[in-house]
Amino acid sequence: MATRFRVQRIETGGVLQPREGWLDNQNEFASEFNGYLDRDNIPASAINETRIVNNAFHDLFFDTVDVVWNADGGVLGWQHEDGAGVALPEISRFLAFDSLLLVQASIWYQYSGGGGLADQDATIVDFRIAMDGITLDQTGPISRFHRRHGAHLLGVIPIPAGDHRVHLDCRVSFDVAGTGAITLLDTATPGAPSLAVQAGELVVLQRKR
Amino acid sequence: MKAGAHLVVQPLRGIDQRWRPAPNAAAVVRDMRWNQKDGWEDSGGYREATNPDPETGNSPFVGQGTIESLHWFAQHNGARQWLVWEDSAGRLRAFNGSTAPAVPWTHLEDVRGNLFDAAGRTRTIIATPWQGTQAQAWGGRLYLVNGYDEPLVFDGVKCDRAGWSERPSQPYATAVSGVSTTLNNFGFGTGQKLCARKYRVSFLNERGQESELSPPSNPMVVDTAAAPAGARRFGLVSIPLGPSECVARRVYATQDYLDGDGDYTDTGLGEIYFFHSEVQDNETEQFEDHVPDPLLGSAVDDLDFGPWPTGGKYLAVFKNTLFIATDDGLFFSAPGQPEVIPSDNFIPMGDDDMGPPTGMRPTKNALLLFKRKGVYLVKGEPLTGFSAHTLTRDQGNDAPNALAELPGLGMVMVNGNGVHLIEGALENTGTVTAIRRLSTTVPDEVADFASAALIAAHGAVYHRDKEYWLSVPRLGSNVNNRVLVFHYEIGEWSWRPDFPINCMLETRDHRGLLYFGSGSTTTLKRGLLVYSPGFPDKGGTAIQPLYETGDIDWGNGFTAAVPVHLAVRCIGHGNNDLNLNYRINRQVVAVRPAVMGTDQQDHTGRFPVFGTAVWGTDRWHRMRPVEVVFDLTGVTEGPARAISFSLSPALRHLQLLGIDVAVTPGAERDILPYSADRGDAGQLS
Repeated sequence: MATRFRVQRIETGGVLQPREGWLDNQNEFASEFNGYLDRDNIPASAINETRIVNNAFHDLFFDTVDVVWNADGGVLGWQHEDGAGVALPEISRFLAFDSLLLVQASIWYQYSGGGGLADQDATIVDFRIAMDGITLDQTGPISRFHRRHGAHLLGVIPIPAGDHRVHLDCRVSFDVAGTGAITLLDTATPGAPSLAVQAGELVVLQRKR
Repeated sequence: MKAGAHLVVQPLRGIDQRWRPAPNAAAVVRDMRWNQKDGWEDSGGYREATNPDPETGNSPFVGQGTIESLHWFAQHNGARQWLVWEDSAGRLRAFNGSTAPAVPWTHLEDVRGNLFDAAGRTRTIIATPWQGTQAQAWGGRLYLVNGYDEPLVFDGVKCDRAGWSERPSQPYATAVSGVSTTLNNFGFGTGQKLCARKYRVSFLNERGQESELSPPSNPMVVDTAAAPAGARRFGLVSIPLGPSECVARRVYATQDYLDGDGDYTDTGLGEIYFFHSEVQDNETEQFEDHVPDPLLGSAVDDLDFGPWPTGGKYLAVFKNTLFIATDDGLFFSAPGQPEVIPSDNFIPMGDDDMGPPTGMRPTKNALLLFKRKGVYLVKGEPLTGFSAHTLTRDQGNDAPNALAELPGLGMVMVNGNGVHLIEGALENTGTVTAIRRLSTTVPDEVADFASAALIAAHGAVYHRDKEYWLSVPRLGSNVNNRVLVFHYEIGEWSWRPDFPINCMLETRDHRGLLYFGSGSTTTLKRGLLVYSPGFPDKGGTAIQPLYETGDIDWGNGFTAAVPVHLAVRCIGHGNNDLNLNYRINRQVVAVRPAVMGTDQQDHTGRFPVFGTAVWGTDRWHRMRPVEVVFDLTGVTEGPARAISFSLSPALRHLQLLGIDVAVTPGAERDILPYSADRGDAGQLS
């Protein structure tokens, strides 16, 4: 409702004075132009897609890991950085407005070492994409029937403006006894498998809500 | 008064229709506004809120009927504003300037996509005078009720039903069993006993407002001792689907209320419901219950919920609580939950002989509820409850839409006896709680009120000009046909004709514009109209300012005077005449057959004017007070004991500050018997 109307009217034969009719009306409209124009002042469909700059309402971010990331067998929970300081992909950004994040991640990884077939059902790995620790999507446990695997994750979350971090995490565990009791995957133990992420990519599409 | 003296009357004031008003009071103040420099100047006109189509000249409001109610609310801290109206065809529209000049509105639509355009959905409109649709903004939403249709809430995108009219039907539960080795902590156990549980369900709408709880389900009885041995038992619960506004459902359950022998345990245990879970959709019809007693949530009191009352006519927000007035009484919501009306949150109000509620407004730490013949103060707190206190049973309010709070004064209410101000609120507000008559000086206007149609009157405070507008039906009309204006900073009245105001409001933003919905379908006078002094006329009808002083008394029956000159103290507006006529001794007919006209210029130094000023020769000037002098010749009715002056502009602009009347002695020259020559029988003869 950015509407204004003239507040004074000049009359023929009226005294030649600038305030009423000139300055008062000018002030009325100037104060509206200075910041209050809104949808009611713009004809419908006057602004279409071609008049909006690229990335006006969205932005795209990505991060990759292209060196080998080795899971730490001594950690039972989610891991992001390995013992050598290599981190899985992550994106930290200050978002200036409330947004909807569409997050995708793809990775491939491989096992080495480990026991025979009996162990293959007992070694499991999870990957997840998360925002500020909140899980957006999770692969669920993947067993070690194949030496090499790929995984793809997709998640969406609405978030308020501010600093946020989107990250890819990995979790490994090893059911040594095959009883359902989860223990640490101890790579120092002879015969225990080790897991290495060979490559991974994280893509975040930020869309204005 | 001394002979040969001047009578200076300044400052001029508004209408006083009593027999003996003060000299500076007026008999008529028409189409004029009081300004902050203590002058009376011409008031404004109106036009449609958007320009007509520049090619065709057509107004978008042709054939659109009249506007019945007008509502304003804002979202996003005022950045997005809405002007919503309802027209005589029952359409709900919101102003949309981006589609001007063709159709500067958008039809509101309900959650199912039906437009309120009379073809899709229609709102009830009463042809006879009524209170119309009432609105209340809350949390970026607008609630609408009219006493007939379902209550609506508009969130800027769609309309939805406000609150709940029904509660869910009874859920149904049965026991199932299964063998599990891993879910050790779930289900109803493997102990050797009978267990029983009941369920209740409620609906949630997208604003998180919860319905009444359903009736309890049948008892879901589980025999954990039954075969197969060791199997864990679960409940299979069927829950009802909600209406279209339902987005989730909450499930409540009792704890197991049977003991080891299958008998009832503690009294009432089977009637205490605890939060069980929330089903985040309106599609699931069954779920498997495996929540044991210790993992149930907090207890729920079904008296905390209730339906939105039917027939809600008036809304108000007070102390974080939504109040809904119906003909039955006053309902109020749970604090912070405007659509949840706990079943005990009802004040019957009593005093049915005072008539139904006729309006509601919050003010000064109290909620005022009006009846035809009563005013009540609702006070209290949401947590401790509210109660109604009788302020008066002497008089009430007839015009729900005329209620308005005057800055620094109090709440205005209008009834057939006049316009009244409610001051104070039974608390230490610094003002005695009292009802004061505002219309003391305008008894003739009040007598003209069409009291049967007064429910159609509308009022609004126009802060730009420090005015309270009261659009009333008069002289038997069933539509508003005169605007009374109360200039609240000086406590004076004036009036304005030719404003077809069906409903009006002042925008609550930095603009403070006065919009009104027209009750007319006449060209230039229909649709959504806006008032401004910058407009040339009132929808094609001329603005005709008139200031007529009251009958200024001189002396008494033994002495009189002859007015010889009148100096009008006004602002020098230019070469357009200030017209004068005058009446002597309260005669109906003016002294002069035609008005006297004189330029609104200072005769000692005239200013150039628009239309004849020459660029490069003339120069800008400022407005200034001047004296425009008239010779009051031709007084044939004298000697004068009372005189009244009528001042108006030949065109439109004028601004009056005061008058200065010069008089000469004019006592009775021929001493006559007091009775005979005055038409009586003759006391001296």
